[in-house]
Amino acid sequence: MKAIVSVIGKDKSGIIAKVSTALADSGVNIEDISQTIVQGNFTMMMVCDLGENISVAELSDVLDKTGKEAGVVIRVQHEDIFNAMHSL
Amino acid sequence: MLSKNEIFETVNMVEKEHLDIRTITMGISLLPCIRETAEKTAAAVYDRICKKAENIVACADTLSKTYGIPIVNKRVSVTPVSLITAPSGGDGVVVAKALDKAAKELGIDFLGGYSALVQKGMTSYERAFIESIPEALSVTERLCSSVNVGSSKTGINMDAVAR
Repeated sequence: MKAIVSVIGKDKSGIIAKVSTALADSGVNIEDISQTIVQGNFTMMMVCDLGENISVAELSDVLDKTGKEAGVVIRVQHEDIFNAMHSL
Repeated sequence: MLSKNEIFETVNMVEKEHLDIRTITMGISLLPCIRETAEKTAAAVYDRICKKAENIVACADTLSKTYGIPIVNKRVSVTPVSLITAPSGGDGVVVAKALDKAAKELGIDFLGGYSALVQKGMTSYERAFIESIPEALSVTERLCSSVNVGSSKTGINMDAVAR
């Protein structure tokens, strides 16, 4: 099952490392990453495959904690939301 | 395949534009709760609602976390209570208190259904029920009430409106 992880916050060192480690520890595979920094604001979207290892709700709790440690806002959303909004 | 812009747009719907789900509602029939006295009916109502809806808040939290969209209210909606209280003599207030207690026990925001459907006419029980609505609402916190007084087919019951 796939989810989109979005990370938004003030740019600082270590964000990508912390988020990737948290995902790897949860058995999540990162399939695609897109990241930009606009005027000091860091934005990253990751398409992740959770497989059977963890549910979206559980991952959301894990990344919520990671986000607080890294000082950024992390959202996890099941891919169905995006497919429903944008695919016919 | 999703583009970066599409992902960004969807995420912003929740982050910046405050997209959320206003409520999720579980409908529960109270017809099996009708008993000979109002107190027994109220007890049956409390038990049934607590049992049927025991997971509603946990479910809402899981859904909210899975899809990343906040769910603002959790609600239970029941059979119009005027139908449940009529056979036991019509004391709606004791049932209203049981409903409110169940709502607090479950942790839900609203419980709707302290209602009567009188668009075609009113029985004496329904008249008494409507008169009990102010007291029922004053002794409860999460109960919602309504009276349906009209429909396209039947027109408007002006006697009910006058009450």
